[in-house]
Amino acid sequence: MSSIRLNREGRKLATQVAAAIERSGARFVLLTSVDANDGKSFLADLLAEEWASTAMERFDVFDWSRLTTLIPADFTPGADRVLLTPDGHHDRITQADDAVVVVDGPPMLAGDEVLDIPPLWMEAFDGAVLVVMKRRTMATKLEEAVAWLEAANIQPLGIVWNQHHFPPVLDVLDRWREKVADWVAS
Amino acid sequence: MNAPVRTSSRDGVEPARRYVDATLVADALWKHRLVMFLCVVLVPAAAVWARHVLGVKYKSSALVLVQEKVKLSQALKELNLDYQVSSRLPAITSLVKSSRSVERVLRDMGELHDDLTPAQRAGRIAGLKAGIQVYSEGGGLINISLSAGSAEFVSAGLVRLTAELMEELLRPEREALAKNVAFLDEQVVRVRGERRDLDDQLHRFREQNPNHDPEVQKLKIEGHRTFLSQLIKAESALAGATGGGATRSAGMSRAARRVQELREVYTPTHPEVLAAEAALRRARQRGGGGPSKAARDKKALKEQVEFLTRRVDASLEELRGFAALARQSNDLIAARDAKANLHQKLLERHEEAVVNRALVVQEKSTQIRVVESASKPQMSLKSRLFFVLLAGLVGGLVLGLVFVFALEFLDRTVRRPWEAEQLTGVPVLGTLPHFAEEELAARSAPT
Repeated sequence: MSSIRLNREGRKLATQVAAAIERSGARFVLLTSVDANDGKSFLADLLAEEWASTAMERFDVFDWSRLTTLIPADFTPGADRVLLTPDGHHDRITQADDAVVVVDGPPMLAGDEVLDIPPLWMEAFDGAVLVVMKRRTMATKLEEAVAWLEAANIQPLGIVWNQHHFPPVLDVLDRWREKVADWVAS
Repeated sequence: MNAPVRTSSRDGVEPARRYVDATLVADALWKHRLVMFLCVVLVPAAAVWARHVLGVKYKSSALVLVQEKVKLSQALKELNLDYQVSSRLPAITSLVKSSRSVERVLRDMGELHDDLTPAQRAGRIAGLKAGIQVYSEGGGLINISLSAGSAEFVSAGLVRLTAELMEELLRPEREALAKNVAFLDEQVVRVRGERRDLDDQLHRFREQNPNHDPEVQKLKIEGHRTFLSQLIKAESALAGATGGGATRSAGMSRAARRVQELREVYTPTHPEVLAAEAALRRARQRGGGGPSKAARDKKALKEQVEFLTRRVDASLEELRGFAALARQSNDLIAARDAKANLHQKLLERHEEAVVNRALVVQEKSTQIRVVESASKPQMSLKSRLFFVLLAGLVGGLVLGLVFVFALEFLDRTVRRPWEAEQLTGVPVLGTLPHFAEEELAARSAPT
């Protein structure tokens, strides 16, 4: 039952994100957030799983830390781009392909540096999806992150609102009611 | 590449938003649940600890009736009574809580002695004051309660406190009546002294004027009257002696003329004629005697009149002297009598004031009295564990809410999706909902 709900919500979210990406026409999309632990990797896993299970194989999700390079093959804007992985496996993506690469990137404003991704990589991204954690992401930082993306010529495609830490009141009440019922039954 | 749909205020689109809603409150409480939990747990615990440290308080109360004498109808009297007591309540509270009363009570109970430092004394007085509560129960009843750490102290202290209040309430009238009696005492003594002085003056006056005896004065007056009447008689006699011969001559002439006239009309034997002749003979008989005797009588009468005139003048002079003395005497007597009268009146007033003092004090004692003396000391409501826990719980809840409100006020995070849209101008694509741990575990479990 619970898993069904998770699948349903995950699929819905994956579809919404995919639709937004397709609507924008972006091919290389950066999945990022303002701070660490805002739910990027969880979302990336969820998207990868859902896209794989719903015949949307052209959407690939990669973890940025496992990549060695992400540059255009001939350094020409609009040309083919090469995606390399640490184990030497490389995947060549051309303009003709309809593949969409979503990179689970680092947080934008965590730590001393603004972004850990090499500047050259940034040129490869067409758009970005921001994960915003409810009641945790600072408003000023969010504004700064969006301004930073726009300055880097990366179009913010949308925001995924993460309210994982805030269960609905009715859910909490249901859970307590179940616990009390179990306790009474025992 | 197509641009995403923007819904922010940057594009001039401002959707209607509710800035405060139930979800916001619920989220705030959920986010700061640890703060709430700590407040709800720690504040009652602190209250229980404070109860343990400060000790249990015992409380006892007494009822005092304070009635005022008013000339009104019964209904208005009741209303007025409450009004007066209500208006007097602050004064009564001040009386009960006055440092003098409290200090006296503590001294009576042996709680204040000379070994204490001023700070300790002030602390004990302030402690007892803090434990006193005074409020009106209506109908002229005033409830006085005392709370302290010892049941015996509470009981004894409240009895002394109510006694002190009674004394303080009755004192002004009692003192006023006593002053009145004392004043009348002084006046009585003063007037009595003045009266004695007047008595002495009168006594001395009478000693100095021994003839000024009313009896003597009466005899003198009688003597004067006698002299005066003798003088009048003598003067009459003198006047008679001087004017009597002419009268008699005229009478005899008239009688002779009458006889002559009748003889001309009647016969000599006519009864009328005979009667007129008889009358003429009687007149001639009365007017008999020689001129030398009359002259002698007249001289003797003159001498007598002169003598009597001298005596009357002397007597009159003596009586005038008596009148001056009498005026003096009468003035003294009148002053003495006035003082005696005043003294008597003052004595009556004094007696009345003494009785009035007793009656008023008695009456006041019925109007202001302790209806219910100190009740059996019981543990104060504030000291009961249930109350402490309940108050701590409520206090903790309130404190937690205050903290949550403050934290929420200072919170600068993004709290709602539309806030993120407003800030960035980027649309929200979807929501990653809350998943329970068991949901995540079921998802990651191999199927």
